[in-house]
Amino acid sequence: MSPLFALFTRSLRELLRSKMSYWVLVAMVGVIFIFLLGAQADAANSTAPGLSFLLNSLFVELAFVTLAAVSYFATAITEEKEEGTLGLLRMTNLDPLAILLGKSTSRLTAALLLLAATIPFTLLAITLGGVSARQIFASYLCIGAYLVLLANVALLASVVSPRGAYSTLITTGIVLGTPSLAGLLGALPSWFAKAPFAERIVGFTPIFTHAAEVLQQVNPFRRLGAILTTGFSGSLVDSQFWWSLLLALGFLGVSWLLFDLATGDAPNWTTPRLTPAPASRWARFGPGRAQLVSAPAWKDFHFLYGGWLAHWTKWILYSGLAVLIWTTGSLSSGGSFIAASQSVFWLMTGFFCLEICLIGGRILRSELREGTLDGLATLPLSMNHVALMKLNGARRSLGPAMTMVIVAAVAVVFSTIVSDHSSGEGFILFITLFMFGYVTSQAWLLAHLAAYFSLRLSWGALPIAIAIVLLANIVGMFFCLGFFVLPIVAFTYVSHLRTTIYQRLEEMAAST
Amino acid sequence: MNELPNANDPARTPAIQIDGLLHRYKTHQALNGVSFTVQRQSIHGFVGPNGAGKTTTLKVLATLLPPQHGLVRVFGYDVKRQRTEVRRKIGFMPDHFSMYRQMTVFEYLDFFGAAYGLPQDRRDRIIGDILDLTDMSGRKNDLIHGLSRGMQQRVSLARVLVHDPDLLLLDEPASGLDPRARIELMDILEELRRMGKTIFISSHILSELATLCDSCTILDRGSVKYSGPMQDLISASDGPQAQYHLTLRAAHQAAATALAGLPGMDQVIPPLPNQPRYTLLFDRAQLSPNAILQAALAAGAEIVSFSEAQRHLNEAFMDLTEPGVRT
Repeated sequence: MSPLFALFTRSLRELLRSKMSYWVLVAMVGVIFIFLLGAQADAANSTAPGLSFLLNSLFVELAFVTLAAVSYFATAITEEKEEGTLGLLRMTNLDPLAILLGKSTSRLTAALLLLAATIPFTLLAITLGGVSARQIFASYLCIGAYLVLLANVALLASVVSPRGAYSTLITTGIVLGTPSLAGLLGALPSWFAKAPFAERIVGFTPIFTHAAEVLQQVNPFRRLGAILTTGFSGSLVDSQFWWSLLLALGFLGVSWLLFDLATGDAPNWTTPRLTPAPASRWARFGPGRAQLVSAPAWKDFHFLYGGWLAHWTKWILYSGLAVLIWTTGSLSSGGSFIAASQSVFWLMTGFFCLEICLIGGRILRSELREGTLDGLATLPLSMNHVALMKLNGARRSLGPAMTMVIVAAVAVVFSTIVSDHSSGEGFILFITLFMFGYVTSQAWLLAHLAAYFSLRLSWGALPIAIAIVLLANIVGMFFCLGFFVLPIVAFTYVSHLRTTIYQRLEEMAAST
Repeated sequence: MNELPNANDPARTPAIQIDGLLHRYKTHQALNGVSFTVQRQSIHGFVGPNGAGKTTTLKVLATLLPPQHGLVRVFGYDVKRQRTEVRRKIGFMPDHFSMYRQMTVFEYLDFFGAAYGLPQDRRDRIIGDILDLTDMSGRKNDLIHGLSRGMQQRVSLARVLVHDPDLLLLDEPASGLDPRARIELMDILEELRRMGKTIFISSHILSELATLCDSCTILDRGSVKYSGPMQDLISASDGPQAQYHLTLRAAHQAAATALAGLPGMDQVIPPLPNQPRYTLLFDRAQLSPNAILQAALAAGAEIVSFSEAQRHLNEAFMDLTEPGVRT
């Protein structure tokens, strides 16, 4: 057996033994089945029920591919780094390319197999009417190419990152930032044309235009939009497919080039912090003395959430953004204070939810990674008590976002009260507050799920939690009561989840 | 099951009392009726081959694993029902590094001091003392991340001491340390015993345990093979027959003949060419060591040393444990 094939089969075997693969497939097929039932029930009222079924199914497939990229593919190499086994692989006959292909190709193959397994179910769309087999196969080729591209983007992130969390963050940034980057690159030539130095950079403008075109080309939504138009008779693959594969090859090549540079030393994912001299001006940002009442809160605030430096940075960032939106939104023509307050409120709610979810993924995982769970478990406190103390540290870290949400909410309520109620502001306020409750309940559930999965899985806890909450919301959307029931379900389930988490922590402390 | 003493009689209560401890994991029986006692203010060695059940026992004592069956008491407190009291009495040092590497040594100890509820002035005093004891005072503002393995082990030991526990549970504290660091660690443990601590130490380094420990338990395949004083374990004497070593300045045939003629002397094993040490096997009931010494001196021998023969702990360990890996 060649070394490359050995690594590939090892990875594939591990994957096939993992129950997670089967659960993912069951979840995807389950959701597609629900869509099928929905499409069948709606068949009498729709001219193309098959098309709406296919559209919903493809949305789930795209969500699956994206979540797989930021969790599963993004840990292909960091997994070996964190386990300290990359050095062992490098000592074998495997060259860097073989390691890259062995680690990523097996995952890519598994994901493609999972994707292919759903094709028979989506082919049922043809029987519902309004869609052709060509459209289905073209859609799958488009998503497959997107998957190959994302897998290689994540592979590069995994090569350059010391830890899976960083790799996930980089991949997420690239996935979410690419559409904005395409827009920015497309707009640059017209901006430069007005600049005083336009003549000097005129030669570069085609590069920006071409790069923007390529980035737009690989956008699967654009391609799927074309495929899913009624009467589609184009080719099965177009430039999106070929550009995705070409760029994927490019990312693989860069990963290969950087492999030795980024993985040459022994794995060392703990970068030491800077300790300022006691008398220096930076010393005020230091952790100071541990607090008697809540030592774990003190520890987490300073050593997990960035301490005072991160705290004050968030204050400046959030308040600066809020002031910017309020002033520009209120003073611009057609703008209003109430609309600006709404924007600030939702932006800060977004930051607040994001922080909660990130905390959920890290709060317990960090203890596992450091191997410090048994130290906490032998304190004369229950694990429940320790976890609540840790939450206290998280609460302090959430201070800036939480305060800004409250300030924005007060501004929304106040501006609604003083408005003339000519545009139904009262109803909008009710909907806003209801949606706030809904979103935060889901974020609260998501954070707890992420914390739970972080104790069960070595990677991808947060993306899996996102996928589950997303699925629950998709299912909830099919029932009118879903929006009212899901927050109640979330808060009820969280208390059960907490008990499970405490038990799991005790088990893990005993098994370390 | 015997009635065990409780915490109401502190002077007589042993530091550790285990009776009939059973523990089963999904696939195998880890502990199969383990019973032993550890006296206060002693150093007790806990040895056994890999998979013998040492770490499981330690985790039960550290309240991390609840005992499935049997009684386990620490200073009279039941580890299952009185976990909080037990945790205040013990300091557990696991066999892996369990540290917040982003903290300085002082921050790390301060954190655990605060977590144990010690007020700041008491923390300062205790941390100062244990940093002196572990010889880490000069490194207290260093990040743990940058410390060597030996130093991290010292910090780990310091963390165990921060709430002034009466019983230290140490799982392989010397593993991975260089000889100097190991000897220094053993010196610290000796010092801690002098301070009145009870130390329960699991280790594979048998030579050091033999000199350090007052008592010892040998565990094999989940069962206790020996538990008692270290001296009894390593003594080569077997029942009524005693075995002593007599080392002379030089080989002395007249002395050897005189000793062989003593009533109750079973055998005088002659020395090797360059090592004038005689091994004497005799009946304790008929012959005393004093009489042997007098006979040797009377024969004109110049005595360098005279002591009861001891087995190496390795030999005792090999005799008591079964070969092969537990399945």
